[in-house]
Amino acid sequence: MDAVGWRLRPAKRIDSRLSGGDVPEAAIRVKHLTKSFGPQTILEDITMDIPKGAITVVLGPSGTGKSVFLKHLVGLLKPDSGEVWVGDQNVPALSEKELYAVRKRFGVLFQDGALFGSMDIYDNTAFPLREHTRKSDSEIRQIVMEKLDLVGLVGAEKKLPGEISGGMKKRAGLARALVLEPEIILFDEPDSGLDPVRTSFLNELVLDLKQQLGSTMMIVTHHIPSARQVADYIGLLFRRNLVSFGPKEDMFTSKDPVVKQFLAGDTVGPIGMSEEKDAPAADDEDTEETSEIVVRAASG
Amino acid sequence: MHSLLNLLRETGNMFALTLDAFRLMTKRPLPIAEFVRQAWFIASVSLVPCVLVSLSFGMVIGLQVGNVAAQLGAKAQTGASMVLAIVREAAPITTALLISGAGGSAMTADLGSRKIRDEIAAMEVLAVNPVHRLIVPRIWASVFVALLLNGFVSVAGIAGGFLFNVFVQGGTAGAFMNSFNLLSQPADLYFSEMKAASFGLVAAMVAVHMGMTAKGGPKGVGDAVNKGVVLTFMLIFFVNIILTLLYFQVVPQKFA
Repeated sequence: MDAVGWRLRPAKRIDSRLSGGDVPEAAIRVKHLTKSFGPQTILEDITMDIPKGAITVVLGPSGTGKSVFLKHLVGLLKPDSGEVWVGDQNVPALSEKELYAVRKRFGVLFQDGALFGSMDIYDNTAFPLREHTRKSDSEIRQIVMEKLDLVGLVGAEKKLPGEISGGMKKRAGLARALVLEPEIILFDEPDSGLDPVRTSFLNELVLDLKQQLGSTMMIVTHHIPSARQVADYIGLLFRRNLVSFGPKEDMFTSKDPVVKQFLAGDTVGPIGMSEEKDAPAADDEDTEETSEIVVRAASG
Repeated sequence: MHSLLNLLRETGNMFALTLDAFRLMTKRPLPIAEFVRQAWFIASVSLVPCVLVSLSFGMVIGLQVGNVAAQLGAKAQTGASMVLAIVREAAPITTALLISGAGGSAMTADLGSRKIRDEIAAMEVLAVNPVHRLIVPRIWASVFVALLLNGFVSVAGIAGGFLFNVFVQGGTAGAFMNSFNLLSQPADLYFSEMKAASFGLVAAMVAVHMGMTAKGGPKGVGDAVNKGVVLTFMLIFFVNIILTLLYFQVVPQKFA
């Protein structure tokens, strides 16, 4: 099956404590999650518990379905099979009404902030409060300004998303995600497109938020320094599987070739340069077959 | 086979989205502000082109029919033909084509760019239903503006024909007006409004569906707009045949 000989196991748990006695309480339980788009399998049989009140970082090479995984947690995508339990509710099986109720427990920061283009930063940040609370304008103002201060955007509140930089959009998106003080916060590549200093600030902010709100956080990224700085737990997605999942320390000392290569940013190992090599759907057999056809065509 | 399945799937999705919008039509809070904004926008971009197109269309009909009618000695009946051509057919179609071309394309582009920027997903995650918030007011606005605009366009078209008949072809104003009642009846107007509303609905259905399913970056949005406008035009002419056949079955005709 695999030419290099790496057999990828679903969610191998490095830490015995996780499967043994000292199991942290899970905020989200993902069970046997499988998702395909057409003929391409993106995620296959993913099982993991996202520990409550901790920061879980999901790492993986580009195009391994990290964002797809995140979207399943809030019901933006439905799995082909499998379950996503948030508390005692299975997200894919919820009615529309229940789903919207569950989503109020989440804050999500999208890749480029996903701000509403027609609203200024202030209105964007105030949007969840206006929709879901009966707070007065002055209360809303106070909360919004407090969150904007937290992300360093005071003074930019009258600007439209089109008028600010990518980093500012991201921070404004974070302010909007935080405004209802959600139990669970999901970050989709919070550090992409940010300079190293801002990334560090953002990471500190994430750590502060964990202290202040005690929220469960899941960060999807491929930025190793961030993972090192903020993670309590790390999961690694590769070739549609969750290759490894465990506490940060164990992951950074792991002997698993995929984990080791990825965390070291090494070129030698099972992860290749081309998307085909680690693309979710590309089985080695398929690739060989295709190259054979190409060879035949060339010689014929 | 594959493309046929895709076509069926896409059609199914479009109707599913529309049904979803109908289901949420009365859900509170009603998105009135967005409805007013959209209605104003659609009206403002389609009104002037609609009037200009139908004015010239009225003139052409006047010219064509006027010449034949004059040879047959029925110049006085040109007004009657105007009602048939403009009120029954040209006005609702012109309205719908311009609502789709000017308003619908902007709608698709707007929703499509929101979709590719993850704004729609963000709205869902913020527990606000985008169908209720964005789609419902757009469908309402398109139908509402189609109804109003249709009346306006009918008047403009007939005015075009009147001006041409009276000032260019030397007909008399009295005869033009008088012949109005020869073939037409109030049911023509009601049916014309019904057509306009249906076309407005079709234009909005296609526009919002294309916008909400746009993918593949800015180029995807452009493709969605293009596909949306072409599909609307085809659908409107198809629906028009059905409605016109229905009209002749339902409404008893004078001289029939």
